[in-house]
Amino acid sequence: MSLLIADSIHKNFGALEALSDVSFEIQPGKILGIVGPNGSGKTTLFNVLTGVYKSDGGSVLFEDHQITGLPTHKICRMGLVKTSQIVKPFTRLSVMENVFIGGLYGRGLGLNPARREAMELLNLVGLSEVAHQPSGSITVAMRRRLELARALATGPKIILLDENMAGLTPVEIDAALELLRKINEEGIALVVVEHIMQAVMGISQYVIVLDYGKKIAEGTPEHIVNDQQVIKAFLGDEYV
Amino acid sequence: MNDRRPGRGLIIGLIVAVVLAIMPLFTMGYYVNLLTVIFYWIGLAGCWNLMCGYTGYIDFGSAVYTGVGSYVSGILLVRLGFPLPVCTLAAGLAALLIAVIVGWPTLRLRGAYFAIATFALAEALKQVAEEWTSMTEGGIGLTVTYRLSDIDYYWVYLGLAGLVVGLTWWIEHHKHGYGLKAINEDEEAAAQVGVNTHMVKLKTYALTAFFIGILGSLEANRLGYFKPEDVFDIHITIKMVIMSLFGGMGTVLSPVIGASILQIIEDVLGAEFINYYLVIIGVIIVVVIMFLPRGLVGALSKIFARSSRPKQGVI
Repeated sequence: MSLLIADSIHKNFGALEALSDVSFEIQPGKILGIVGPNGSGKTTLFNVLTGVYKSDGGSVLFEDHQITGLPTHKICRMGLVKTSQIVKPFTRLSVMENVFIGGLYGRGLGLNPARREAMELLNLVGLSEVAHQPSGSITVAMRRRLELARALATGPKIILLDENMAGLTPVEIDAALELLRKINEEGIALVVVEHIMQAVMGISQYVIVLDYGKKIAEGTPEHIVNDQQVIKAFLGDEYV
Repeated sequence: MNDRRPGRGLIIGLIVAVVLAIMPLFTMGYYVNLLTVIFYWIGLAGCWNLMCGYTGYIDFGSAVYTGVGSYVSGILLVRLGFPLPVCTLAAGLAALLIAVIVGWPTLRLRGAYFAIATFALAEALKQVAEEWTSMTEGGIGLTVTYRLSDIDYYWVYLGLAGLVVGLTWWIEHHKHGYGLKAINEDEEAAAQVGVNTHMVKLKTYALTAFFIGILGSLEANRLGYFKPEDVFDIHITIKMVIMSLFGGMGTVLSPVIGASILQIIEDVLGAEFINYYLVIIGVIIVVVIMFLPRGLVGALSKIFARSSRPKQGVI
């Protein structure tokens, strides 16, 4: 049984077709990579899946439930969350409280269990030392890990990661990949959107490629890097 | 640190409440009256702060609920002769019901739209009260003959102000308060971690409307006579906004400090400079907003934080 099935998703912004007939599915506990040039519809796809945008066609099935058109908070409570490309911590709250809210609302935990859970997750992502600092005061690399911890606190079955490694140094990327593998080993499926090809190719078991809102290729990472259409989309005609 | 502070605050709060509760047994007259009015405004500003200070939604129509509260209880009392507690409770429930009906669609609107929608509603209901003379007596005004004693209003208002402040404190430290703060910072991000943002806002709005309705009902009863333009007055809303801003939005104590100081200033200046006091209050407000954007509570906590930081470094 597939965990998440996106079937023929369409999304228009006025005359612009941001997503056109995009379909994919992901099995429990797997890692799916989504690559594509800027403006190819990756972030829009995530926003449709999590109910931030209403789609103009197609359906999303999560664990055999129709989630098309459900509000974001309900989709989150069912176990489908995303982290944002632009990190948005609640800056006036402490790092711990940010994660704590995820446990309170996403999983419906009580105050004390949510607090314990938050501290454990901060330990996992390596932020326990800054737990009581205001989240506005930590570095970008830390904020990216905070986004991840906050998503984990909601008790997800699948996390959609929107460029969670953007702006990180190579060393930080390695650490981030290590962390994602650790999270995946807990049985949480991941959908990874990333510009950094090595990162996506290294971690994903299956990859889909978007260009101008259309799926132009899919397959294993080895298959994708040799695909003519993908090379054309990323590098231009002369490289084919 | 977070766990220790509320305990101390609670004890101080209880001591202050007990002192205030027994005070009218020793002094009477002017101070009791002034404090009664201050408690009333702490209650109103406290409600506004709980909804708008914590979520960042600006309500410019809070006078809807003082007006509805006044008329519902006034009409029940005068025309049907119900006992005052029943009338007051009915006033609160009527305000709550209207808040749910109004809040359901408008709380999906962000920023200025919500402010405009609520403001328009207050004006519309004022017109209804003007025209519906068979019930409200319209512009002639409604006279309420049954009244409690001054000292009873003092205690009831003290209790209500304490209840609103206590409730704010409780919410601040529980799940609901974190939901409110998350909404204030980033509504989309809040929804993404599972906060039902619309419901959290609606519950808070209805709860505060309930208390505003009760306070409005009692105040109309205390004054004994009111017209639509008195109880649906935009100045009531503005005063709630200013008191919250003055104290600093979104903290437990800001309405207490804002309402106390502004009401005292208004009282003193109103007696001394009857023609200019609004100008002076205006200048004070502009100065506070320009130089203390987080209000008095924000400025004070900054000073305390600065003086205690070196100590933390040593430990």
